[in-house]
Amino acid sequence: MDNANYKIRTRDLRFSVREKEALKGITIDVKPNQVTALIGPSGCGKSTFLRSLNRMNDLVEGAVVRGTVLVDHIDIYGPEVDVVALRKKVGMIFQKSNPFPKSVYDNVAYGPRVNGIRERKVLDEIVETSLKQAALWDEVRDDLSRSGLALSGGQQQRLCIARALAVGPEVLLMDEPASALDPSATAKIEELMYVLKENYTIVIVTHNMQQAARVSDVTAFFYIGELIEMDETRKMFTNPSVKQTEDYITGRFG
Amino acid sequence: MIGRKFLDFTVTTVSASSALFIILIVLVLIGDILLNGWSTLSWEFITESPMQGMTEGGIFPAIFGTFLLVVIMSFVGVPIGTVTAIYLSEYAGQKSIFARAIRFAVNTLAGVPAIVFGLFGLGFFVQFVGGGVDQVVSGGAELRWGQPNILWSSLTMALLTLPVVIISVEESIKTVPRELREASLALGATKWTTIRKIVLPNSITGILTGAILAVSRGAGEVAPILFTGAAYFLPKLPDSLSDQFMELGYHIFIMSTQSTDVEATIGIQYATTLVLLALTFSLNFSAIFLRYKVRTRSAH
Amino acid sequence: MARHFELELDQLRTQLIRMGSLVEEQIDLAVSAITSSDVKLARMILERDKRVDEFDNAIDQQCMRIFALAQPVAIDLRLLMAALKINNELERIGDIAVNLAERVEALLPHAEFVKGTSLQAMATAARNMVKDAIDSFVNNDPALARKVLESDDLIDNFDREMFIQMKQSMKESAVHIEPAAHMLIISRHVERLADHATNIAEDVIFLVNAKIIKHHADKSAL
Repeated sequence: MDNANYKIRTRDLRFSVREKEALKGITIDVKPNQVTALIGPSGCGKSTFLRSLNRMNDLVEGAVVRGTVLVDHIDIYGPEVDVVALRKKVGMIFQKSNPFPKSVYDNVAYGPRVNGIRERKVLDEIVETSLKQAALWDEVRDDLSRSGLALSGGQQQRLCIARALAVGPEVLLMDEPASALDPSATAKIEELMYVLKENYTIVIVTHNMQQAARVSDVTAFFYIGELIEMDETRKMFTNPSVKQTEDYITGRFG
Repeated sequence: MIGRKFLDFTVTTVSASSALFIILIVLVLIGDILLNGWSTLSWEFITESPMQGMTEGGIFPAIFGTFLLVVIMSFVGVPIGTVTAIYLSEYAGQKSIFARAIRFAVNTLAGVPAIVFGLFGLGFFVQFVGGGVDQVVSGGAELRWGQPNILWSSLTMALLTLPVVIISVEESIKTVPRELREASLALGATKWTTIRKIVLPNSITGILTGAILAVSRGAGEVAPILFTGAAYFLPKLPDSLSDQFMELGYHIFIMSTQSTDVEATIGIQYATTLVLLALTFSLNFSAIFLRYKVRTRSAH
Repeated sequence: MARHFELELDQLRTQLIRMGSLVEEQIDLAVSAITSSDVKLARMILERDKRVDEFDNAIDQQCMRIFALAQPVAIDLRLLMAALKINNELERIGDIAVNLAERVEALLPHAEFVKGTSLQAMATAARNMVKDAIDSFVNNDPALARKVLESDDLIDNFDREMFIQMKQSMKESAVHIEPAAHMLIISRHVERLADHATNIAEDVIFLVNAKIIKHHADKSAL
């Protein structure tokens, strides 16, 4: 397959913490402007894998990473790599929404401010654009100074998305973004992904099979640190190639 | 069974009595001080200097001295303690030898008796550092820094209260949820930026608690300043760091044991004690209140 | 959740298998009623068709429930889709049995004529196709299903033969026109029996191999 077409490629990625192997050699290609879903039972390594893509795993004491992770053809674990710049390019949304105890405006403006943008007009524009992209603008425009924590769960998560978008990433990593939300809030987030993937590459971890089926273009099935199968979602859910995959998605195990 | 019910009754009575006993003691203590000191307390008492050989007048210099001591102590102790706490909780690895050594030192320091600090302050700050500065400045001719003064007392007190500050600040930093740090880092902020913009602002109550507890202890301890700078009678207020100073706790000590006419100054002693107690109580209560606010915030 | 769900899928299969047996029997009885001019039998077939309709409704309801509540995927999804389609085919086969039974009375005076035709052979062949198709579902046997697809030509031949035979008969004598007309229609019914059997066979292949073989379009893909 020609190299030019992939946003992220991992080759034999291994991750272990204090001798315990969490990822046993993962080789995956992620295409740009698509939603790739990672599914698998608890503890299979999908979240660990996700966090390896923006080096959030560096925060884990005693973590050892082997293999390569290429983002736009550059190995992000190489010696010259600026982790801070990487994290601006590859943003992350967490399972439990974690807005800062600041106003809605300051939450979204945090990233740009940290990057040195001080001019009020520029910040205003970035905040508005990001909130619009996250489908939250209409709900908060009347009072941007209200605390981020005063929003509902679904709104908070969209605020976190806006916050991540404000730094101008190219990839969005979402770690079970809707698992703590009610069905209508979940639906809004899923709808958002359809729109966002036009401009961003999205990788989402979910243990909700139906969600993976609804939102993703490609699905990867993880099991105990290994990649079992990865294919177009449509094919994966009508006729998977590996029996283990079929057993998992039909709920026979896991 | 009768036996069990009797046991129940006994235990309840005994514990209630103990609690009552303690409350009683506190009431007696405060009551005694209030009763005997109230009459001497007045606006003039707080704002005037002592007169007639400490038998009349006010205790303003002692209040001023205490205040100055506490301010300098805080300016030195709180920043150092805060920075150490930040290092311990954010930068040092949990298992690193260095971190373990620091924690060990902090815990040990917390248990050192106040008088030992006083002796240390005398030997190290007054004689070694002070004497050394005098040597450098004037070749030993002029004895300016090599004697007790408010600077050495403040530094000694800062050392004493350092463990309190470090522990309070570290405790407060730990209540800042990991998710907030992760969110900041994931946005491309550096570790220091995250600490500066997220961790510290959200642990400010803990820092304040530590500072207030330190101040409260500083205002109350006498042993560290015995040899390092406190004086009983000074003609004027200290106007440089190399001056000695009067202090509330020290004043009470000297007045009640070594003054020329103990009987005549009883009223003043009580009143001074009352002022000191009022000061430390209000400081402690505000620290407790802040602590409560920290705990309820971390509960969500 | 999986255990309960698997039970439901098993129940669905069982329902289909039972419906298949019932419908097979209906065909047997219908052919027998025609060849032995048994009016009472014909009436019984009409009565029993009610049970075929009951199965049809029950299976449709069951499928809808499972779709809505279990969101099946992969092989379970294919089973559900196959169940709906096979259900439909079986119901139509039941209708054909009724259509055949309805002709019995009209053919009473022509018993000898009927015996002289190749109806028995053709009907047996078609009935075997139906039986094999249903068996291939019961046993998840795509090889058997393919055999059914291949047998379709056989029935087409029978049908053509019948047409030629009846044309001849009608030319020979005007008396033959009425029974011949009935026989032509009956032949058409039996030919459609075979079609339904092949549809069922195609659905079974889809279920097992996830390959859609539609309308014999690509026999090479088998």
